[in-house]
Amino acid sequence: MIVAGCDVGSLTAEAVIMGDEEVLSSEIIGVRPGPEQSAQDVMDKALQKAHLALEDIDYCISTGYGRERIPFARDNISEISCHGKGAHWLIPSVRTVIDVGGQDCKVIRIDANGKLQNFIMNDKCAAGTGRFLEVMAKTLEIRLDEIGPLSLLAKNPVVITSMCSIYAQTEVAAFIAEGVDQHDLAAGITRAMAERVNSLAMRVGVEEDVVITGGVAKNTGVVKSLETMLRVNTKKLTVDPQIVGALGGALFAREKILPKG
Amino acid sequence: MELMEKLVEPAKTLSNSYVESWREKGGKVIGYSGTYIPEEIIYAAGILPYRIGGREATKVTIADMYFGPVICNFVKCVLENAADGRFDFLDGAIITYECDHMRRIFDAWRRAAKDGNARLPAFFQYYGLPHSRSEHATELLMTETQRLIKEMEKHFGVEVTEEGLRNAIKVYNKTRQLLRKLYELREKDEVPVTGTEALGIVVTSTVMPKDEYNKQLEKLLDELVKRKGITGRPRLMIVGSVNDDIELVKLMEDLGAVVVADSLCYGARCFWNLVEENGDPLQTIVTRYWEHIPCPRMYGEYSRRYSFVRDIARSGKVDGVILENIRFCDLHGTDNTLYGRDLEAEGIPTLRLERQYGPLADSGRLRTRVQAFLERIGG
Amino acid sequence: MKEKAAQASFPRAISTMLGMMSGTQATDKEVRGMMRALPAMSAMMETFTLEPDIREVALPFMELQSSYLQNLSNAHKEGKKIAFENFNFPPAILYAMDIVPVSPEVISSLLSMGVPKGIFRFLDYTTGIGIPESMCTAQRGGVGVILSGLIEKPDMVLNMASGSCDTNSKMFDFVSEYLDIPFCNIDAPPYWDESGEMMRYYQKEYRKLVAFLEEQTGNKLDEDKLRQCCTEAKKQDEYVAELYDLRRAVPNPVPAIFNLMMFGTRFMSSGTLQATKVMETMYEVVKERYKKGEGVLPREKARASLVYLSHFTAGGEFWRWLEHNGISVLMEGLAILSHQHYNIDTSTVDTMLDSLAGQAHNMMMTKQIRGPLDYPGQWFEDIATQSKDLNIDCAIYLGTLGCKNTWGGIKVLMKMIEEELEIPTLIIHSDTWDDRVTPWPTIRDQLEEFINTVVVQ
Repeated sequence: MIVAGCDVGSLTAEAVIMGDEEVLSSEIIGVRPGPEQSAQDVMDKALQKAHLALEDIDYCISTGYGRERIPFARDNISEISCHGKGAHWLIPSVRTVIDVGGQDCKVIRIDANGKLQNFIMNDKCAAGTGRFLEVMAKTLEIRLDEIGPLSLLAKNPVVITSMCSIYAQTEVAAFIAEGVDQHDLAAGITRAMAERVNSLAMRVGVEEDVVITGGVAKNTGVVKSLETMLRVNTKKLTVDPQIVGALGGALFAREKILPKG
Repeated sequence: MELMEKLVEPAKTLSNSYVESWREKGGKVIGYSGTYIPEEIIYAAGILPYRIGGREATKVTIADMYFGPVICNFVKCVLENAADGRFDFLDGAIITYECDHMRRIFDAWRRAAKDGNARLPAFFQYYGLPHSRSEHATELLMTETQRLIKEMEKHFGVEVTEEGLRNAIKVYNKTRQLLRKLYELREKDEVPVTGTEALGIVVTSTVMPKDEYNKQLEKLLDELVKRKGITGRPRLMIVGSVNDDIELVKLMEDLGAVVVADSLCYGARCFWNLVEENGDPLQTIVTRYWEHIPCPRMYGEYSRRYSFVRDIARSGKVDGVILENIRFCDLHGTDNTLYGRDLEAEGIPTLRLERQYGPLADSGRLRTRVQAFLERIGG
Repeated sequence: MKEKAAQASFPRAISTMLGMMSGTQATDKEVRGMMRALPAMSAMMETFTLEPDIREVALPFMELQSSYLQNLSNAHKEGKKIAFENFNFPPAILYAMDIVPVSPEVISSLLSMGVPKGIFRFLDYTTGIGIPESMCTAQRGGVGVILSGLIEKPDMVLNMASGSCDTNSKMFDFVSEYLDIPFCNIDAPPYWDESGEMMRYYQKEYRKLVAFLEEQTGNKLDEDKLRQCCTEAKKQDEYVAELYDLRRAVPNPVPAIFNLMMFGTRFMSSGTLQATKVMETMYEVVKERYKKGEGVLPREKARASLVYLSHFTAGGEFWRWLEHNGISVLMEGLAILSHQHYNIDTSTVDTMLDSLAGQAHNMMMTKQIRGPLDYPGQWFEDIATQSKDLNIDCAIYLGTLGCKNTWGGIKVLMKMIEEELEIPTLIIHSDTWDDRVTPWPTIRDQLEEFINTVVVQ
């Protein structure tokens, strides 16, 4: 039995191909113009890696922003359920998934079976999403992936009060002009980010174990800041946190064709 | 289903063929906002009461000239409709103090007209409401209603008689009873009418002559009793901010659910309570409107609202309740927090949905959330 | 009074600070907290105490604030009830019945000005429990403090300003449900009138309040105590009226921050001896300034009306900046005076209750924004009257994102002001208690540009 999950977001697309018990291949790409194109490309790449053809896939489930427009998907399921499912398969003790993506942020509560219990999303405002970090990285003239490591070495983190990314930019620019240390700036940024995520998380409550998924999970500074605020040690994934959604899709696909009982 | 279409079609636009033919025959139309204005007094004057809605607006650029950034988009769409001429058929309009957003339509519409950006109906009134119930509040409301009647009589050269009011009560109570019957059908295990259709039927009740409406709805109910019902889908209830847009319900039902109940002001709350037919008709009319299932604008009445929501959820055997509010709607947004807490405590799953009304409506966001919710309650 | 200021000395300053630090039974945690808060608090102290004239009034004002907070923390120990009530309701009746008031807006304001990051934490706390982010920050700060347990749970919720806005009232409704506390709703009627049907409606509602308070405390209203409070309230109103007349002078001798202290005093402690002391001191100081022709520095270049709110963050920098940049604030929304519409009559219990109801009925916001903008006694009329009385040359709106009522009407109002009062107007998109919406420097720049390019000829 071979199944697949395809997650088409607004910035990236992922595909995961699974066999009976294991992941055969996975792929992440930047989106193409049009979700059908993104899905096709990422699936092709994943199939290539696994030395398979599309016909070999018994069932494919799509998820994400573009999920309803994937022609080779038999069905679509929300990225919320998929993230919960995928995270739970990877770490069965997980009960809260905090997904911080490029353009949105979700907090997902699941039960012992990985089933969705409750959730909350922010997909309107850049604050608390990867977008905020991007804007800040530009302002500091560093790479996105440098923010985390820099922040961990801060001695006097600055306090960024602005909620809006645009004003935050002004604030940070002012700090730079004052000669504030880059480490302290990076720490202020990761902290501001974590505060927003924390605020969202409070709405649905946080139960351990907690795992952080999505692109921002790779930012060690944000992760550390969030752990301090939530007062938990989050579980770390051994796979790329961006594929969790597609993985969930594949798992749901498997459930569809496994004999019942 | 021709009868059904006839009763849902007027809900998709503002003006409709009934309004047009009413006017062609020389009839007058008075628009009103919300559920607290006693329609019967307008009907008794021989004038068509028309509930002002926000649908059809595709932008809010003129409204933004008069309203700040944190104003409810439904209210902005109402003003935009006025600016775009879609309310030109109104001979009058009565704006109620139902909420902070709605009451400022009274100021903004007049100003927009002064600036030449909208046509102001020749008869334009404000209907003030108290916020909590008491003997003196009812007295105040009686005085306010009598003032409104006098203004209407003066302007339109009509008379509102006791006889006229009694007759109006009969007609309106009939509408209410028919709609109650419709909602009873929705409680069945096999639901013969979708939520989208039901909302359409309710919205239509607010924009056409009640006599004709009652006839049509009665016929439709006879058909619906025999119609094959929907089963096997998650049953939802919707609670929250004003919604006259059937697309919102369609969005939810397209995802595989069926909406079987609500506590909405284009919904159960606008027809649930009848007017007492014995006693002074103006008194009983005002009392009914004042004391009907309250909008969250009535302070200290949460438990009354909650009992209604919970009872309806139970009798509808709903699998989940969608608590929606338009962005910036503090009244429903705050109530929804309490509803969520109390419903979940009783084992009824809920979904909080903060949304935008009207143009630029965020259907993608809504679909993701509702779909996830259905996955959650699906089992 | 000026001599007192001159006698300040180094030892006294240090002992005062130490007195502050030692407090009464301050815990380790409290002391550490105070240390962290000192930099922000010192900014606020500067605003209130560096200038001699301002300090003179600020001292009794700060004593009043201190009592307010002390009463709050001692209330339950002393067997008194705590009432969660609206800021713009004169609490004389509560003091007359030995009830301790706490108003969330007062808490929000104190913290916004005096502690690092103001009320951000508490705002986030409230959104965390599900209070919509769009609700007014004025209440959310104080509510966050109460809900997180830093202030003892109140014994009752009194909503008495239900005409002014939904958001305020809804928060009170919510708090009573959420914390399961008895709720009393005093309804301001949909229209305003001076002495007619609407006034009588509110007076009937006021009696409901008294009955509720008697039931909650188990005590009957004491006529003598009530008379005492009414007498003080009357004196305070008289000072308010005198100050109104003094504002007519050019330059205006009333510093902008006196508005804050005036309405702060009325909101927190109307009817108390302390409040009378503040108002009396304020009157004396302003009279002196008037005699000497003192006003804003370097010289008065604009006579502004803040039609609604001011800005309560950044240690009160807002007021210092106005004071040193020639901008005189003649009228401030929260200090809009309506003393001429009621009279405190201390003859009998009934007349006293009716007068207190009259005072509440005419408090800012409850009076002005209750009905359509151009109706009698509503926002436009009050601004117009006072603009003419006080020779105002510009109107500025500062509000909160939570204020749907004013945001629904402000653009229309400003057009009316421009046309009929022929003065320029400015609307600033900011939040009085939350700099995360628009930072203070940005607000200041907008004000500066407006005054220098539009107002000053």
